[in-house]
Amino acid sequence: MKRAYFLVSLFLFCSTFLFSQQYKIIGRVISAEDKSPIKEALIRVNEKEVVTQEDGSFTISSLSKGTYILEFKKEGYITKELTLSLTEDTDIGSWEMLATRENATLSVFTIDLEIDQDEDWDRDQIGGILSSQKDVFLNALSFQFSPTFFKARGLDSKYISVLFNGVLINNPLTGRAQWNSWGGLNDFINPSTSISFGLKENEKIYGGLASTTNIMIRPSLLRKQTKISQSFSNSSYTYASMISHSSTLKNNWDIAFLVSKRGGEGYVQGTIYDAASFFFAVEKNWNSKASSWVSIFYTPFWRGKNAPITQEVFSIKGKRYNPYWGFQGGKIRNERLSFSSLPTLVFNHEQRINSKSVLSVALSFQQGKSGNSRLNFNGSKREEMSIIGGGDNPSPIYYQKLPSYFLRDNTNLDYKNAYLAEKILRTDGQINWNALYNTNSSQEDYTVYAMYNDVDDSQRILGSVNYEYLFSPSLQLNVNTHFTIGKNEYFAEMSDLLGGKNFWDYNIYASSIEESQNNLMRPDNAVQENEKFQYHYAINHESLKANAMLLYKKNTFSSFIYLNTNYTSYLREGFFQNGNFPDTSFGKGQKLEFLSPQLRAGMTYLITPKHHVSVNGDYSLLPPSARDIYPNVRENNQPFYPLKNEQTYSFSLEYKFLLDTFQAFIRPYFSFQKDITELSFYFADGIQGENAFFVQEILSDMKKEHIGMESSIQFQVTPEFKLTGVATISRHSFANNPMLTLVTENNRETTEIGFVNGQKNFGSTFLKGYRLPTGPQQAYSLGMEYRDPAYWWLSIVGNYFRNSYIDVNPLLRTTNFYKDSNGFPFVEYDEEIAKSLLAQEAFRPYFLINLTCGKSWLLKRGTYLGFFLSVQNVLDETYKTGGFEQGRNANYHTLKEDRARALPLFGSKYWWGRGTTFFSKISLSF
Amino acid sequence: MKRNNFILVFFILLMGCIAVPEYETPPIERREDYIVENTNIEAIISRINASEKKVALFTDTEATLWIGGYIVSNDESGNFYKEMYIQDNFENPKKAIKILVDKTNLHTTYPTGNKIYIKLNGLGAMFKNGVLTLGEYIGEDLKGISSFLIQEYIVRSAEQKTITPQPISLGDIDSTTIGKFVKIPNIHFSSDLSNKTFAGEQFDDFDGERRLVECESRRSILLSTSTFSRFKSLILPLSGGEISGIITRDFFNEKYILKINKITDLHFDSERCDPFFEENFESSLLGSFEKEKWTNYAQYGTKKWEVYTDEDALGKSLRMSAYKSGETQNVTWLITPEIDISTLTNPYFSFRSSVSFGDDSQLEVYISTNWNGNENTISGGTQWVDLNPTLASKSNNSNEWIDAGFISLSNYKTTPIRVAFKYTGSAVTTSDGTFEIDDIRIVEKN
Repeated sequence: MKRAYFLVSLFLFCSTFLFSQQYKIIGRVISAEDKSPIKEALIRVNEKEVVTQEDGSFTISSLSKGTYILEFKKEGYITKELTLSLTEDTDIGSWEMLATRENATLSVFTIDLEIDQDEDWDRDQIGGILSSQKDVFLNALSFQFSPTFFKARGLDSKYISVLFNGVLINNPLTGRAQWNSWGGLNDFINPSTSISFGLKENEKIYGGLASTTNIMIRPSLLRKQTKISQSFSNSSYTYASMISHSSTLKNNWDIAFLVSKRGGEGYVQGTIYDAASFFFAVEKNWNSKASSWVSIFYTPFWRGKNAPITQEVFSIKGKRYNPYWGFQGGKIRNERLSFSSLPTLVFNHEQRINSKSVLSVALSFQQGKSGNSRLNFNGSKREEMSIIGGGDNPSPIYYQKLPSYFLRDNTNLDYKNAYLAEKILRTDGQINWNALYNTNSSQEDYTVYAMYNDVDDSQRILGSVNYEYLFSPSLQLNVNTHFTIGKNEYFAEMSDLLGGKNFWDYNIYASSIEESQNNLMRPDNAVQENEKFQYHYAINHESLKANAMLLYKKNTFSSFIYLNTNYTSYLREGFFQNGNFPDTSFGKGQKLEFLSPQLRAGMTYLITPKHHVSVNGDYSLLPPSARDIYPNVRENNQPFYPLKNEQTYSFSLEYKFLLDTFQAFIRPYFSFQKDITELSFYFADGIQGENAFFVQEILSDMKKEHIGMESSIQFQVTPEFKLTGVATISRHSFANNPMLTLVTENNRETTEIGFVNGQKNFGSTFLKGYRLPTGPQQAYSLGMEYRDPAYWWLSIVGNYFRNSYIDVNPLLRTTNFYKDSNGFPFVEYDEEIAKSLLAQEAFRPYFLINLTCGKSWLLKRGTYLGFFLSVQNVLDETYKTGGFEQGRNANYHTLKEDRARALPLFGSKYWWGRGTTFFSKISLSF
Repeated sequence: MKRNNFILVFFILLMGCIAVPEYETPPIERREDYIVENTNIEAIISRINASEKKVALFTDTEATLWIGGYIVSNDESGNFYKEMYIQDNFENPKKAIKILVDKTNLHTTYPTGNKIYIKLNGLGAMFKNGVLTLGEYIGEDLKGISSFLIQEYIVRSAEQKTITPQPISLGDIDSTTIGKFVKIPNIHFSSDLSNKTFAGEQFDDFDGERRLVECESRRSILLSTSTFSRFKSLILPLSGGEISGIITRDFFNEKYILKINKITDLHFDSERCDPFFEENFESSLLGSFEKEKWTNYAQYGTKKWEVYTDEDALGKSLRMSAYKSGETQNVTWLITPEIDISTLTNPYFSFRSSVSFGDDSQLEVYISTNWNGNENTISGGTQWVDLNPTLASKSNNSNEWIDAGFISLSNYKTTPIRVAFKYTGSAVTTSDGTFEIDDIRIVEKN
């Protein structure tokens, strides 16, 4: 009996082992520094995931015998792995995790590289990709490549979607994200950003073809600390101070706020800077299923811009030169200020409906003003039936003030004046504000020079609804809608009469008094400060995106399919009745509507854990931006027909190689675009006499081709020492000869040369094969990074850039080029010479070396002192970041003549990269 | 801890306000009143005349010379370009001079009526295209003062006056009038210019020249308007009145022209004073004079009255000459159409004449009421009364135009009249002189 009992027990005992060979692992995760428990840390074993409790403890059960790798992850801590052999229930005890010291690399560049969006040359703002990613490739794009105006995939910032706390924050009329809207909030933004690049999927939105940046600043996810920091720099500004705080209050409230101020002057003279940033958010965690948070951010700023300059001026003045400023009363006064004040309020709510579905809702209100200032030198007055007056162009680099002007005639070289011109440019070369005031005070009845602002006064409501549903652990559905509705009001506003009394609101280029009235409802108006004049209209816009994504992930295979429909509408409403277009300027114009679907799909296959392969494709129709469809938006509401959606076909292939310490990928891509309409406008000097006025250039039916290859490698040689390398080799070019239309002033002179109502079609412009001006189309980066366990690090990266091209002038490549005024080809036209005259300039390749280093100290429990220094362009390389051909040499004859001069009169204008700049930051967090 | 944070934040919020910078209005430039004029325009002219090349060169080695003058021209309307006229006094000026300056929009720094001082050292002066001009002497010509050096040479004073235009009549114009701000009362545009613009016609190249005719004298002058001026496309006013501007020479130095500063310098608010009858030959083609109802009859010989223009003519004028006719006798009649003057109260007849190479050749002016229009009955059968006007004679210069005076026609009101100009001469060198006539008219005069 006793033996049977024993046998049964043995059997039972053995059975327990046989049938339930399930063990568990328990433990407690604590902070290495202060040994406090870490809650909500994620522990992953194979496919199992658990989260630590309030006290840091965790339990992983139902594990069979074997070897497991446990991965410990928590935001703000360095991910750790533990390998253990499980033969019984195991208690690993207290498991320490090391907090990451904030990688201050992140807070440095981003928005700080302000780029000048000048009417003369429409440039996109860069800093295109915020990155606080560990991804070597994205880091290179945002930190190493951005000073060169590198455009990823050759696509401008219209193709980068930016979500801020769930809402699509891109400008509804230009499609571009305004990076300045969240300048100075780096401490909160950098840890809160995730990026999906290229044709990858993004759960929150069917994003742009270049990338989607998702910034979600949520108080509960921010590191709980207070941080004060002070920075000094010579890059975009001189000093920056920031204070931020994030903490949990009782009753499940979390709060975060940030205040910062930046000011001083940038690397280029006269780029004075003043900005403040304010962020406040509060979150309530109702229960484990629901959270709501409200955030408000406000980042007003103004800054002085700088101008593109010709080689001639550059040789005399160098790369810090800026012709836009001059001294007034001992202070720097810059005539081109860019300003913005756009407070934004966002409400968020996240609802975990059940274990399978989550609903997120975001609603936002945004309103404010932004714009640019400008110096007007055309102030005139009415003298019976004519308009007289106007002053000289006060720009110190106006072509008639340069040495090249006095040496333009080979048979009559004016050396004396050329010498004087060079001397005055070299020793001075800035705006003489006193002279402008003097002029104004000596005119009795009108003002010649005045400062005014081109203002964009906007208000909108935007929002999104995201619904995520898990059919199963391997099948996920995301349904999103994003909407925005609002109005942008545009007008010129007088800001400073510079000592004058009345500024008369006339268009001095019109042919008659009637036509010169900018507003027939208020003719012959004397404009005072803060009054609207010249033009006043609004664009009402609506947009709705509805998209759905299915994502399937199982073992080694994952794939997704994404569908989107966009509805977009624009309507121009005029508030001035323009004298040139009395019937088509005032009141509501036609509502323009666009419906554009998109489809994206991709799949990733893990051939082995080491070798991954992905394929992605996309077909998108995108509506044109509002500013590309109204050719003369300030004066009338006529759109440019035909109105087309832009079509893009994209494809990319990726091969990734992953080892523990070595990762690499190579990714060829291809995209083809058609039906593109692009409008650029610039202030043209001297097309009509010596006056400067708007010319709008429309390229339509345009095709573009982007083909390239992206790759990166990362080699963790030792735990401290890492090598990185990134290369992008690409070819972005025009794929056809688009149609060119110019829109300019409607007056007798333009009518005489063939313009109808100020518009003229110039036929095809032979751009096929020319490269797009998208920054360096080949970029290489090689870096090394050392991280010492004693919390200091050093990184040196060398970069090489080439194949950056100038923006060619389309008018030069129409049939106008080889035709004389009588319509027949020039007698002396030579094809070979023409080809060399029209060859596209490629900027000289260059090296940029960047260095960053930093250290952090633990002062006492929980208090850290950090120091960070970054030096960019260590070798002080001089390089061009962009440029454009001037349009004044409009035909073979004049261009050949100009090129033959030792100093061309109308040489191309360039933007120059900054020399050696530094950024240093000291911060205290507790 | 949290409380401290809030306090910190509050302070930072205060400093966080940003505002676009404000700038103080700079004080008005003080103008140099230390300058003393120590020479004048007359002295410049003397120096030009005394020099061999007829150029006055003021060097830096001599004493500093300053002249003063009041600005009378204005480029605000675009009619003047890179030039400035000044006169030595704001009223009753004696002399005036033109200054070439390589800068546009001079009105912004040098407004009309402002007194300026000009340092002559380093500049040159000469008569360029007939106009007394000051500028930089380079390559045997005067160029505009370099835009970089203007402030070295030209200094504004604080004195600002309203310039009173000197009233003149066209007969007074000579080289001393050039550059002064003058006023011509009682003037209007020639009648063939209705619906024309100031300088906006197809045929206007660099300047539009439009004939202005003085009421009384019927003398005329061309108003020159630049094709770059802002009022060039305005229609010429049809009425009459007074005009203020600057007399100067045209680009080819062929004739005097008038230039206005702005459109409001034309005060055309009175009636025109077109004569009852006028012929100034402006609308005729050059060559043999042919016009409806006029008679150009060569009684003896073959030469006829012809329309011509040259530097001495009044625009287009009419002349008759037996020079190289090869004929022993040249008698040519120019007869007006039949003119009915019964509606006039006090009709007067006038014209002007000039003589070139005057000799024994003759011009006689007759009136008739009974010519039947038939060329055969001109001589013999028609009663011609000699009007005995004042005529140019060989003692006058070839470029002088002599007014015939006003000849009363009150005795001829009852029947329509004709006036005849009869030239008598021959190919013989002592009688082949040229007579020129112009501005034939009948006016109402009190």
